[in-house]
Amino acid sequence: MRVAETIGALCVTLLGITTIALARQLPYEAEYGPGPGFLPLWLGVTLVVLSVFLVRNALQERASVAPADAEADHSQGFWQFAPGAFAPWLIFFVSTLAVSLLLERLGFALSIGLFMLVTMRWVARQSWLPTIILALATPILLYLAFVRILMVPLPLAPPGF
Amino acid sequence: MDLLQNLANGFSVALTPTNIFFAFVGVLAGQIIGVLPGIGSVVGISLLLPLTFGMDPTSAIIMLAGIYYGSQYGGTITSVLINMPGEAATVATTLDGYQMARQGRAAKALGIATIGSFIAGTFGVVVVTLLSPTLAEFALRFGPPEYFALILLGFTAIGAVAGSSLVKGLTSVTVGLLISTIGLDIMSGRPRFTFGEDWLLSGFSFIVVAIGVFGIGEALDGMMTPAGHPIIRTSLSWRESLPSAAEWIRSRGAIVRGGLVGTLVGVLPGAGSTLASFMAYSVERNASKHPEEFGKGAIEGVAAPESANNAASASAMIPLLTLGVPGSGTTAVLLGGFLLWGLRPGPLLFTQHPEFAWGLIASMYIGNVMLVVLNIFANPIFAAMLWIPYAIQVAFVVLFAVVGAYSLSNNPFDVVVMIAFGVLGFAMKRLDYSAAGLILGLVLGPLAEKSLRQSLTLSRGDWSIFFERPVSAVLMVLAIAVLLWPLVRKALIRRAGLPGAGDDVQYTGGEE
Amino acid sequence: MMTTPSKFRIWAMSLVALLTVGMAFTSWSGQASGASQLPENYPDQPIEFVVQYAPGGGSDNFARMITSVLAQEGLSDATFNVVNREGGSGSIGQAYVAGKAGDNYTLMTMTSALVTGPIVLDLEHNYEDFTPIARLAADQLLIVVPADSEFQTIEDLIEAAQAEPDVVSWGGTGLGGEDSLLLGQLEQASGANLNYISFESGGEVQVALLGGHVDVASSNPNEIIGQLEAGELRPLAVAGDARLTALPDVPTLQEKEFDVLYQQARGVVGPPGMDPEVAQYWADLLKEMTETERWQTEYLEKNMLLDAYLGPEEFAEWMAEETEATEALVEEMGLNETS
Repeated sequence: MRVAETIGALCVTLLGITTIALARQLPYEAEYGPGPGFLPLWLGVTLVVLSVFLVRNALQERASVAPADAEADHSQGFWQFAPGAFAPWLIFFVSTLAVSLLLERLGFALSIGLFMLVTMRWVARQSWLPTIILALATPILLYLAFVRILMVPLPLAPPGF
Repeated sequence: MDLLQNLANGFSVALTPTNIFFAFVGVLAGQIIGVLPGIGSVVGISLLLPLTFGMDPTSAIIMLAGIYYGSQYGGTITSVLINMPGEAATVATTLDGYQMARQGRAAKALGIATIGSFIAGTFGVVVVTLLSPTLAEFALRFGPPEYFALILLGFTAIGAVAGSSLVKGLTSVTVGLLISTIGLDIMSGRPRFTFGEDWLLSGFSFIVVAIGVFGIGEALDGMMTPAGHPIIRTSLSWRESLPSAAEWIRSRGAIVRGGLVGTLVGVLPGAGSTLASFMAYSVERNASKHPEEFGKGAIEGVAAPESANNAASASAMIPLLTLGVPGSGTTAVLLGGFLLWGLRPGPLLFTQHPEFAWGLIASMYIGNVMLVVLNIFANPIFAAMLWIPYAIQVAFVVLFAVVGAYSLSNNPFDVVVMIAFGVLGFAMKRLDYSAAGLILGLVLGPLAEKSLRQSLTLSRGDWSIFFERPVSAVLMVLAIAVLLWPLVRKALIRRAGLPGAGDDVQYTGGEE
Repeated sequence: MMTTPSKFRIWAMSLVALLTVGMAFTSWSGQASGASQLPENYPDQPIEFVVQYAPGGGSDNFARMITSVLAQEGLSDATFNVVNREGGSGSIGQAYVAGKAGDNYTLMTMTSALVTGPIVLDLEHNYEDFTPIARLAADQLLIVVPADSEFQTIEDLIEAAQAEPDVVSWGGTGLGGEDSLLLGQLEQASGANLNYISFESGGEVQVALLGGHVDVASSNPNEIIGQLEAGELRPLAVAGDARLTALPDVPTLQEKEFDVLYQQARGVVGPPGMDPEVAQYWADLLKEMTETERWQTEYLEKNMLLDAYLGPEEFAEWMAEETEATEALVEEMGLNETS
């Protein structure tokens, strides 16, 4: 966790520096009062200042690794999974990414059906029958609710579904 | 009395079977639309607007207004149950509502939200009935400097949403502010941080960010320790959602204060119910005898923002009806509806179409009653969603997040952006950065920056504009006082010899 | 502790899901059957009518009015799906339509922003990326002040703005927006100098104007008809080439010797590479529509718009001319210095 805290804090520093660099390309002042670059610049500065405190706090946590603290709220690691939770988490994460990226390419029905199939079977560990029923029913329900009733043009695959 | 006569006429319009039916359709649709993340009231109303083409305008507005305030009730449900705000105005509700659900008190959280919404919503409608012209005057006195002072007051909510670490809370808010600067800067007509991408010109949609950071972030975090989310078997009895005597005593002040804040902020065009709900939450935490319970499942932390957002959705009708100008995104769509039905919105609406204006007002009383009845019985059933195993719940969270983000403006980019913010939300959650702080910065950022720059352009660079105008001066002083209040209180507690208030260290500077 | 859900509950859930599907199907089949009888020839598929702005706005109203008049007058039995793809100052919807090259079943609304956006905001797709179909209407811009304003005439206003720069404030919807281009023309024509204050939306400008926080603003007539009727706002001038029939006492800027002409157009375009016959089909159909009584009264008159029909070729020429004029104006105003 301490490593993660430090990395997180350094990300803030990096974001702050990037912001300052980009904000300097925008005019700082307008004809009257602040220009478009005013707020971003000071936000960048604020982030850098805050990140100094964040880094300090993270390092202090490292120094005081007293056993009493071991049970404190956030003493568990960033990647601390419950036993056996890692594989389902990874599958869940990857299928979440996949459904968002494939939504347009595969059409919503196929991508969401596949998402349900994978998550129900290997994340929620259901047996095949309910998995298949949910994987088929969900896109149909969504189609009826969103496309037919609410008339939201969800992306359809070439066959029109 | 004229007013009573008008209201009576309004009720005679609203109580016809047709209009009761449309009010019911409206609140029911609003309830459902509010539950679906991404499909908030703006999208919901615009989806149904074409169907009202050719309908009687009064029935049409009664239905669409029903959707508007009905969605404020519905939006609470996903905020409480799965930490995914269905509506912008319910982000503040997640802070304590979700914690209550984790403690097995989901029905109670939904119940107090319903009751608070009903009381404050009805209060808002009473204010609309009695004080519309006065409050319209009040709204017109808000120029850019007054808005800036008000937003500054809104920033005092940072302390309330910061979470366990103030430095991290401030970082979240600053990042939220930074995200809010992405897009076209209207003051200079210049794009900022768009890297030449046209689709970034309108910036990141607030709800896309909220769905990602809250819904997806929480799901990814929760799936690391699924055993931490056991199946919660709640009772299906409607009594389950009624507060106990002790809970009621804790909440009633919050409902009154939330209703007042919501009514006043809601009437201001552009400020809206999101700001109202954050401010009410912050007011409540400052007023509370046990602020340390906030964020850990305090019932008044649900009552205050929910009361505020419903009161605000009622008073947002005031500028629409009396001035003919939209006060929020949703009322802008309603205004489009007026034109579609052949009405001319404006100051003469009340005299030219009294049956329309008063029928709408009367229907809002009726709609609120329908909603409270509907929700009292429905809340335990919604809470029973937590009977579903967690791994199945999160799959549906992703599903609705994806469909919701897409249908916001039918843009596949939004889905990818939403998931990216989900990953950010996950990291923030693991490292204990406040997600609500990010949203607060994102909501208030553009309002603050815009009104600051508008004020200074108006005054041609003279900063004293903020203190020369009475309303603005009062709000500025108030904002400074609220920022300093925790320090004062701490000093008082210390003098009284009581143990210190723990982590309640406050900062004294806002962002600008 | 993780409880394994009982088989029974999973089965029950699945059953509920199936039942819901069944019910939804039966309720929906009744609605859909009426719309399925499409003609053999074009348009034999539903038309996607893309609005690149938010619902409830001017373009949205325009598109929905077109589809409704076409249907009510029996001019077309095509099925239209009006779809809002808003965001990015119109660029999201425009990019979407630009990506549907050769598609004969997509239409998109056009406003003057399709001409000005690419110039001022450097948007990727300009009017040349679309198939011109028809210009249908011209929207006017009124210059208005609050009822109790010290300015009685447009000359009063201009004189005050000439006397001292930036004392008179003008509320608008964003630098680079159409109202700021009108102001730019007016400043050039008169030598006056006004203080332009940007707001997020027309509604916010109206509030600032009614509250007296800004001195003057420009607005489309239909947005402020209510305030004008109630006497809370007062029109000083109209930026078009003729007085409005509904407001016969309001002079044009040209009458007052200011060389300013600013009108906003509303029209319809198609995706790039739409078949010319298809574009012509829509142009003819829309021409017929603009001639109906319903369009004239319920759309043009009600919204104080002018009939401004142009067919595909003239429409394209007009957009080219507008582009040239806007480029010159933006150059002089210095709006495109960077970015």
